[in-house]
Amino acid sequence: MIRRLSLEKFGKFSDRTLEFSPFTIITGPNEAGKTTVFDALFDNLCEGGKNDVVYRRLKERYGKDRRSSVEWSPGLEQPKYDAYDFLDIFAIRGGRIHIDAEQDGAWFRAFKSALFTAGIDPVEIAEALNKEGREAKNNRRVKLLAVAEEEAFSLKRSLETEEQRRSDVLAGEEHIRQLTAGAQELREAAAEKEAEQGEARPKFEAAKAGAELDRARKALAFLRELEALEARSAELEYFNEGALGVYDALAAVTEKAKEELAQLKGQLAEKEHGVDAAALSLEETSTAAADLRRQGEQAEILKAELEKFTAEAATTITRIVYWPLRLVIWGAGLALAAALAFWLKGAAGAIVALVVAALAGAVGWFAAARNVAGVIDQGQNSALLSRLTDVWRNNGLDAELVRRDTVRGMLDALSAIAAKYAAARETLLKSESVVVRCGKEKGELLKKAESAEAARREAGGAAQKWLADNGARSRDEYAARTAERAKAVFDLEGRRETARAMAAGRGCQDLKELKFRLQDEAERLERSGAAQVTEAELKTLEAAFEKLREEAQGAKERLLRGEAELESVKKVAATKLEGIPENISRLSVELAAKEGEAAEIRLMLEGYKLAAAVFEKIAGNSALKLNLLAGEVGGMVKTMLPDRTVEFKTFDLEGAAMKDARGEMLPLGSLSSGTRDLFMFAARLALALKTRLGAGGLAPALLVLDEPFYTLDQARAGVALKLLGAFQKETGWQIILLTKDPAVRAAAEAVIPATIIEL
Amino acid sequence: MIKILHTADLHLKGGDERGYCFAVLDAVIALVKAEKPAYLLIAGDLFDSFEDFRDLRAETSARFKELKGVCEIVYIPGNHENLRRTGPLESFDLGDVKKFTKLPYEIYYGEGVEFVCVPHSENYGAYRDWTIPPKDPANARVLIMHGLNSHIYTGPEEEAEGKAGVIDDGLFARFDTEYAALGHVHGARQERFGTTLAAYPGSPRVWRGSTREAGPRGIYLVYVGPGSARAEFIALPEAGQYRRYEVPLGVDGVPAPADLERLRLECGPKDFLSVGVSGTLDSDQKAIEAEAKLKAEFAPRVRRYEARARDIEIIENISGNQLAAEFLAELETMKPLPGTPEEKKWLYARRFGCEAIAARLKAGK
Repeated sequence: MIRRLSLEKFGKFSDRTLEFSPFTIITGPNEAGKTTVFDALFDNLCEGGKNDVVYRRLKERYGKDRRSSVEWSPGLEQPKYDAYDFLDIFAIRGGRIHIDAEQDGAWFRAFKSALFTAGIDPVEIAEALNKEGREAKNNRRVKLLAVAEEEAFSLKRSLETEEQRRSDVLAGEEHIRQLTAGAQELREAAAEKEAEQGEARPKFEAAKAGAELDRARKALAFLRELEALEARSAELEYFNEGALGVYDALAAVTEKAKEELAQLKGQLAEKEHGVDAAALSLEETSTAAADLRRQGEQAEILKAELEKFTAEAATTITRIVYWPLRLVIWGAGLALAAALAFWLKGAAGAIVALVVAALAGAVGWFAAARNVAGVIDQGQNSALLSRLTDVWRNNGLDAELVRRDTVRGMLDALSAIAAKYAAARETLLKSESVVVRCGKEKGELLKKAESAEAARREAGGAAQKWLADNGARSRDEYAARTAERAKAVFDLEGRRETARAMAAGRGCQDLKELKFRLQDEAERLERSGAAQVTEAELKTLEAAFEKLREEAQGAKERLLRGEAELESVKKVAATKLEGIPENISRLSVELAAKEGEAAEIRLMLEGYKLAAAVFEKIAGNSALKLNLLAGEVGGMVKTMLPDRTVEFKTFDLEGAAMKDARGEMLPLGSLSSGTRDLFMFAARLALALKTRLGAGGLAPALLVLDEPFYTLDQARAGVALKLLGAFQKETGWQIILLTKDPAVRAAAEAVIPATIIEL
Repeated sequence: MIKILHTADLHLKGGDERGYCFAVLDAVIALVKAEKPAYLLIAGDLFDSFEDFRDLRAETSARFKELKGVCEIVYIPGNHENLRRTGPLESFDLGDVKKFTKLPYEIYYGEGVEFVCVPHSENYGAYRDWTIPPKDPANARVLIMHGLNSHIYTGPEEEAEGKAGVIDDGLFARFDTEYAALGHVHGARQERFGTTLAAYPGSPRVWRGSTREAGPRGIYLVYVGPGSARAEFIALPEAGQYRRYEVPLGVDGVPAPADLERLRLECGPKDFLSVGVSGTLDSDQKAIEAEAKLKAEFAPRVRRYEARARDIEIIENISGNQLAAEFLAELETMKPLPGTPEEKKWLYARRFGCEAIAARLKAGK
């Protein structure tokens, strides 16, 4: 409670102190300073920014004259006000119907307080509950849920393991049933195979005896063959491969003689051919040489004559005129002369022309002819050549061989014929020499051939004699016998080895004993009725019997294995189920409990969300809030005007309504000013109350009423003061009433004990 | 098809409950008389303990005499007949009741049906060593056994003493049974295992009062033949029910009228009623008063009344808190059906909402 307000210098006041009680009435006429006191109280009670409108207004109004202070009752909490809270709620002034209901405005805060009993905000609770219920990792219950779910998962795995173990055991039982049935089948199969083997055994034994007989007979046949081979080998004893060398040597000599003879014969034939050829050549050469000799001799004669002629011609000088040149020179001289004569005209022209013509005539004469030595006259030449050709022909020779147009040509032809003749003559001489030599050589070869023929006959006879002496008609026959003997000897050795092994195998000293033994065996087996069975047949039978035996053995082994497995599985299955059903039961119970725990936690999380949703709904339900506020305000109004009801459609002045005296619900603005002020008085009291109601109960506060009832008649002012008195009594709040109206002062004093300050 | 009635876990006992127990037995006998089955099977825990077996068997036998000529009664002892046992069960006479106590089992051949009677054992693990003869194809085979099968029932074992043996799932098929008449679990339930229908009829009475005994009490009417079996539950209204309620109190300590009305409507004179109050109140006194009022009204209406421990949080002035009042009023409008998970969620929401307000009020102080 404010005990004292000291106005050191505040507006019109200097060094003025006002003493307060819980209910103080400050009176005074207009301009007495009531508003200044109100402002001084405001200045001391409220906190706000220096730039706030209200403070600026104070500054403008009082300037530096704004020094005041308040003294509070010791030990009592000093209420602090927001400037706007104070002005809109705690300062009640008649005719002021402003409502600061905007977001965060004074009325809005009061409205919240009115709704959120003791200042508890449902939005904040909803947020907190939502936080508790949200699926966040850091949420305590979500952590518990995760642990429970993890444990449930682990239990489920354990349960599945146990159930699997149980299934395995039961499957083991099924396995036992299958194995038991399988063992029985194996037992039957083994018995069956055993029986088959028993049935097959006598047949197999008989076959073995038959095979023995077969072997004995074959061995006897083998021995007989051995004996035959020994006999044959003895027959061929003298045939040996080494001896054949003697024959081969003789045969080689014969062959060599044959070859020499053949060679000589070849040489002789060749020589005879050479002799014949040489003779023929000689004959041909001789014939040709006869013709050539005549040509050659005649050619020598004519050649000499021609050479003589040529030598003579070389010494004769002949003048040769070049007529075309001479005529040209002369023609040109005449033309020039004519031209000059024509040009020069006259005598001069004629003289010049004559001179020129004369010169041209001389030049043509000398320049177009020269003397040449050795030039034969063509006529002489032709006559000579013709004559010589006739000479040649007259000698019975072919004239064409020498007919030529020039002396040189004929001379060359004659030289060639003479050379040819000289060559033919040389060839003839050579051919004659060859014929003589060949004839001599042929004679020598004939002698050699005769000698070789004699040698060949002698050698062939010796070889043939050798074969006849050694019992063969030919070398091949001897060689065949020799090979036969070698094979027999080889076979014999192998067979003897085999026979000795057979003998040893049967415990016989020698082959003879073996033979006797085999004969005895064969006879014994034949007597026992054994039918001969070949080794191949026995092998087939043996394989079949062996297969049967293996099958029987396999069946027996499978049976043993099956029985062993059965015993093993029985042992395992018999011991494994122990305790598993109990484990499954225990784990099922634990799992159900854990899942229940998890479900419970989930329900809790849901519970949080549901509670949060309810609080959110409350916070969002404006109609409900307004009704609550209307209820509060209406309660106040009813104490003053019992027949009136109040409602808030929206939380502002326009939304507020109240029934008038006729019972009609009217908006606040349509009510009489007195009724409206009553409403605002009640609303401010209600809001002030809610604003100061906190978690710890109602906080102390101060109400400053500045001419609150000036629009009211005396009766209503009285009712309002009664309400104010009851309010003060209930809340214990300090009230300071500022009024100039003595009636209000008196009425107030009548309701509440008051301290009066007169300004 | 052979008609059989299957019951178990009657837990006949002396003392205060004796009257109730025999009333239920009488109701069972009356039902047998009405249904006229060929057999009445009692799958263990007919008596609550060995002492009860010893002391009440004469009276029980006398009651069963009424069924002479109506049906044969086949009985195996459960784990409770073995509780504190001081002598062999086989030496006690139960009159016309065919009692099978020889371990591990006995076979009783009836008309068209073979009963494999397995008296209770704490361990049935060796069941695979039992050489039970093959079933006559013309007969149905019924297994009577007492123990816990975790496939049918996975709840916690509530009995602190007298541990029951565990019945393996494989047991039913192994013995080629059409119907397994089981005992030990107190709630009725049945499950098919291949060709075997295995069933717990539950206790025909309310024994200890637990949520697992909630719902109507009764027995199974079974029709069984070679290769087939089916079981129908027949309720015994005379046994009453176990009813458990949580009554949320308003901040003023008063239960919602709808909750009270529900109790009035649902509870019957044979019922075992368990009531717990919860809420956030100004004072414990209000809760005590509420409990007293509830008891005063409902205890006379039921066979047995139980007040469970209160779940109350005390917050001063909570009743004057408008937000709390508004929260509870709003929540009340969305109250779900009782007994559902939604109700649990709702109760949690109520509690958490009140706690939130209470915490802020406390913090304000």
